[in-house]
Order: sequence, then C-alpha cells, then structure tokens
Amino acid sequence: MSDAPVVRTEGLRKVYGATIALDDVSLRVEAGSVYGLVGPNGAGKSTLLSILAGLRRPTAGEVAVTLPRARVSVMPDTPRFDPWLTAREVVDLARTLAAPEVPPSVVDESLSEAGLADVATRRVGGFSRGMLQRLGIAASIVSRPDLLMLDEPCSALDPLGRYEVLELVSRLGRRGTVLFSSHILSDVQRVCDTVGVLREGRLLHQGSLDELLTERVTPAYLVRVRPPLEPVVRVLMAEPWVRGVAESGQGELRVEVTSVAEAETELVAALGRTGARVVSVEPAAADLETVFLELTR
Amino acid sequence: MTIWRLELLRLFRTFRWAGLAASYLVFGILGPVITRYQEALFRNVGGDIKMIVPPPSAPQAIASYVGNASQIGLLVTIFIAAGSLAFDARPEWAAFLRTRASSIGGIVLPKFAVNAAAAATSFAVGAVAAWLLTSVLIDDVPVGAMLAGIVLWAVYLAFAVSVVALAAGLSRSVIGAAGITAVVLLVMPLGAEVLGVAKPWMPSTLVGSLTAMVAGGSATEYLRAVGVAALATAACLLAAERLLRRREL
Repeated sequence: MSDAPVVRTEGLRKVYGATIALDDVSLRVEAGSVYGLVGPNGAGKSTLLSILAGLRRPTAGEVAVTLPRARVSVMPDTPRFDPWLTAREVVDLARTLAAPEVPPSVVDESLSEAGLADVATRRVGGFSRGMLQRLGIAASIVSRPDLLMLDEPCSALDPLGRYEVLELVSRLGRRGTVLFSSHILSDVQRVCDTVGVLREGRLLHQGSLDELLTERVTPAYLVRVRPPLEPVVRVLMAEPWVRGVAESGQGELRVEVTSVAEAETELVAALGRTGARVVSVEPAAADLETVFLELTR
Repeated sequence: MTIWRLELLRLFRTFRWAGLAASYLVFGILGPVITRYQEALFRNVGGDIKMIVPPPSAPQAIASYVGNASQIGLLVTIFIAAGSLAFDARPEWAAFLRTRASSIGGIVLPKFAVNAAAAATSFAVGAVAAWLLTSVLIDDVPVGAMLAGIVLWAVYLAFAVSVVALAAGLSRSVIGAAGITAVVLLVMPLGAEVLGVAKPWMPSTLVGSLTAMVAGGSATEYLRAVGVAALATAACLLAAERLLRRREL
C-alpha cells in the first residue's frame, strides 16, 4: 500500500432540500488499500459513492479521483440489467464500453471469477438478487480497473456467496484499490485494511482497521472465575482503574478498565485479593461491531 | 457488444420491432382496402340511408394510410423510442451505462439512430404495402412520388425521435418522455395553422408530404421543412445530451 491517495475528498457536503446527506466528509483512500465504508442504513454511504462515481454532484467541497475515469469501476448496491440480455452479453457490454482494449476472453474469466460461468448464456431476467449482484461484480471487474467501488456487494448473498465475494474482494485488493461500503461489519473486518465510519452523513473515524480496534475502543479483559461472582465484582468495582464490570457469560466477567497499563499491573493482584478461584484472564478482543457501537452510540 | 447492438437486440428480443412494424403495416393494408370498398361497406351498414362517396383514388388510399400512420403509428414510435431513450427511468441500469460509456452522447446517439431507423423502416414497410395494394385495387401510384414521400417521412420520424430524446432529458420516466413528445408533436401543427406564414417551415408539414406527392405535388415544396427538421433534430439531440449530462442520478 502506497501513501498516494487515489480518492480524496475535502469538506464534502451534499444536501437534498432540508436533509443533509453528507456533512464535511474528508475521505482519503490510498492506492492499494481495501477501504471499508461502514455505517447504518441512511448514513450516506451510497450518496458518497455516487458522488465519487460522478453520478451526483456535491453541494460543497472537493472531490479528487486521481485515476482516469476508464480505470475506475463502480457497482451500485442493487444492480439491474435489461432482462433479455444474457450474462455474457452484460459483461461484454461493460467491457466494450469501459475497456475495449481488454480482450473478449476476459469476459468469461470475469464471469468465472464471480461464480457465474455455468449461467453465462442464460438471460438475466430469471436471475435471483444474489446472481444479479455477482453479475454486477463480473461487469465491474471485466475492465480490470485500478479502483473498484462496490456499494454493499454482499447484501443479497447467502453465506457461501458472501464468503466467495469477500475472497474476490480480497484478491482484487492485491492488484488494485477497492472501496466498498457495507453495513455488515464482519465483512469489513474480514477483508479491509482501512475503515471509514459514517453516521448521519459525517465521517466519525477514518484509519487503519488495527488502529481503530486498538485505539478507539475501551480496553477490557475477560475474567473467568468459579462462582460466586458477586464478591469479585464488588472488589473490582472498588478499584479506581476499573470503569465497569459486567457478566458476559457463564462464570465470565467483562472488566472495562481506564488504561491497559494499570490493568496489566493491578488486575491479577486485585483478583488475588478477592480469594476467588480464577480460571483465566485475557484481553477482550475488540471487534468492529463493538467499536462501531461505541462510535455511533 | 456495443450500444448499437444493444438497441438492435432491444428491438428484436422484446418484439418491439413487431409492434412498430404492425402499427404501420396494418394501416398500410387497411387504407387501400377500405378506400376501395368503402362504398360497399357504407351500402351494407347504411340501411335506407343513401351514402354518396367519391370514387376511390390512389391519393385517397395513401391519405388514409398516412392519416393512421401519423396518429397510431407515431404514438407507437414515440413510446418505443421513449422506452429506450429514457434510460434514467431505471437508475441502476443508468448507473451501469453512465459510469462506463465515455460520453452521454455515446449512449444517446445510437439509441436515437436505431429507433429513428426502425421507425422509418416500419413506415416504409407500411407505405410499400399501401402502394402495392393501391396499385392492385385502385390505380397506379407513381414510384418516384412514393419514394420521395417515404424519405420526407423518414426525416419527420427522425425529428420526432429526437424530440423523444429531448423529452427524456426533461423527464426521467418513460411515460413522461412519451407524454411530452406527444404534446409537442400535437401542438406543432396547430401552431403552424395559427402562425400561417411559418407553416411551410414547420417539420409537422412533412406529415402531409406523402399524400401531396402522390397527388402530384413537388418535393421542393418541403425543402424548407426538411431543413428546419434537420436543424431541429440536431438541436434536440444536443440539448438532450446537455440535459442528460447535467442530471444527477
């Protein structure tokens, strides 16, 4: 991943009447990254991608996509095509329009990559939503773009389909830049190296996934002890470096602390003072869902 | 696969070609037949009322075809062209085309050309049927007059399809684009009648060209309308391109 941004926005704002869809969004997508844009429904993800794709104009702010338009490919969240076209014709149309220099053989390769090789000659009118989404992906990758923008690429897929598409996104990230939006946090966590969290049109956080998971979440530990738990809770809550203690499962406590350093120094000693039989102590792994909830709460 | 081929496939795979051709061919057949046998028809349905109808003539038979072609045929042409040119009616499909085509003109021009050509071909098929049947049932029709009239009508149909393109730039929906076009093409001859002086210049004057040619008129009378229709077609396409380029999805 290089430091050069292929997509950059500054103070981007989009207003529809009285509704602010995007507010002061400064996005930076670096070349070679797999950037996940996460946010709840209505957060402004599709609007942002539409502006980057040139399908909508910002009300204010700057947009810079440094790649030539022909090297950028976009897939909307619910792709639809003329129903009387075959899958191969749709992908070939995408190739001819976006990258006529790409050999026709790539059409079948793209269909194969998207898992549609067996239905290449079928008319798309009979396709399920999941198949249409795969077809949208095939039509997006056939031009061999340097930047691929995918709006909710897994929203209509079954678990196997999601796994395959995420694998594909991961592979594409190795040969170009991928920007994809999703409200499925586990998908983003699985394939993205950079994350932007969008809520109500504002970019609440942007940075590497690791940084987000380690710096933007309240540090916590999972402590498993033999019952009774109440004395342990009482002792831990009395400690100034403990922010909260909650039962998170059978004999398990989630201990949120003010700092990792103090917890590492004091937690084991504090548990010793309770006299409880300690089974295990481990740092609670932060997942994107936890961080997301903290950021958007 | 190009947009040109896409539009041809749209015509053939969705059987739009059949609807379009039929809307002209049916009247190309019925026009001369009804003209030839109208006296007998009136006699059978008129009862005791005595009907006096003029003897059937070739211009009358062709006028019957043109009268229906300029209403039903034109309406079908408008709707079929709107179904193609109002591509923003389906935003996901529009996004597919807009983010890949090098320019909006590259989308609009093939759609316009294929639809205009299909409409002109359908009109010509109907006109040839009317010509053959008129020649067999009523009287000879001069070939040169028919060919010149068909060409003049082709110019008018191209103009009509360009108005559809412009209307698609004003309205996203197929119905909206077709409705705007229908109103424009309906108001134009009325406006020409009101203005009087401008009538020979109006593209709508071309509607009567085939009938007038068969009746012995000269093609040169329509050169002004052809010139204006050609300029208006180009202007409509340029305006459509501009409107569609500025539109947000």
